[in-house]
Amino acid sequence: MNREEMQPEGAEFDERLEQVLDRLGTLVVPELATENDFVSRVMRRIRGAEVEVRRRRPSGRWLVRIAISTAACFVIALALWLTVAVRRSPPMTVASDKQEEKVTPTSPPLEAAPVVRTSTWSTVTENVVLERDVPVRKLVYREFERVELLDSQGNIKSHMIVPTKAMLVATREWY
Amino acid sequence: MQSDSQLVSAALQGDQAAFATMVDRYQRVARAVAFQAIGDHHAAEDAAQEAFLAAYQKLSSLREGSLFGRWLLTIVRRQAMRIRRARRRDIPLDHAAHVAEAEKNGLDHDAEFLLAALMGLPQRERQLLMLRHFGGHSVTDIAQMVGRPVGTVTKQLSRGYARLREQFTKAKS
Repeated sequence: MNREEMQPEGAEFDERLEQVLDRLGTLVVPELATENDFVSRVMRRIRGAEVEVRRRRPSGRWLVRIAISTAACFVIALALWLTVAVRRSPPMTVASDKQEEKVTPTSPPLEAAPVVRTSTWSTVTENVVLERDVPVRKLVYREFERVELLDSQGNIKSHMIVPTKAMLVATREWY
Repeated sequence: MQSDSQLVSAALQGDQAAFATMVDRYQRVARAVAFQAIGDHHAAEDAAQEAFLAAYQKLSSLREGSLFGRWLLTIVRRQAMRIRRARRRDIPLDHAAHVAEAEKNGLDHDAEFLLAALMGLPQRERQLLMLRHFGGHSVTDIAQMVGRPVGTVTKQLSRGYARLREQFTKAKS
């Protein structure tokens, strides 16, 4: 190869480089007597050795991947199940009046329910608690509800805090 | 012209003619890679043959047919290194100087530098440059072989030339 033609200066370098690469190819890979000889030799060896394309089998790496995916799915399913289970059985908090100050609603009451007296167990609606001749007041906050047990003068005797959706269950247990 | 991917699929179905086409397509590139590692044309040819045989046996482990070229060249290189190690082990110490001389492979300094620089390119660019200049394939044929648009192949070839130029500039300065 000519040393001068490989000087990187000049705009024609790329063109020269392509020519030099072509020539390098002839040096590195000289023409065989017949190029087909190489192909036929390889193919003869393949046929002679009765080599067959091996069938695809799941490799160890694939088995490890499958195992990891299965474990990940199991963990996700377990986490979902635990989340749902915890939500279904919310903790019930009954506080005395002295602890009242500690209970700080995260938002102001949406609406204070009216006191309703009744002689039969009936139902708990969204804003009104109907109870057995017990004066009860229910305050609805965004995240929980506060149920207050009142005396005949309308003073708070005690109260309890329950998550909003568990109101019915909590009230039943309280009585 | 069928793409590498199509030929690999056909070979996996037992079509040996498809594999023969692959051998024809890549034989010069394979021999060049082996020659760069061993420095002897006959040994390089043997290494390339062994590599094609191994590639045929393990063809089913190739996940993407379009990657056949790069995958094959890795096998060739490994095979060539194995032959080179075996040759060194078999030659007595007092002939070591002759072996070292033989491994200079008859190329002058610049040609050897260019070959080494070519082998040091990223796999894809190296494959394309070798198919173009050692395999004597046109850009359009190469694009069909590797299953990429002509524009992409041209761009990658240009990038390869630019890298080689950069290496020459560094070496000359």
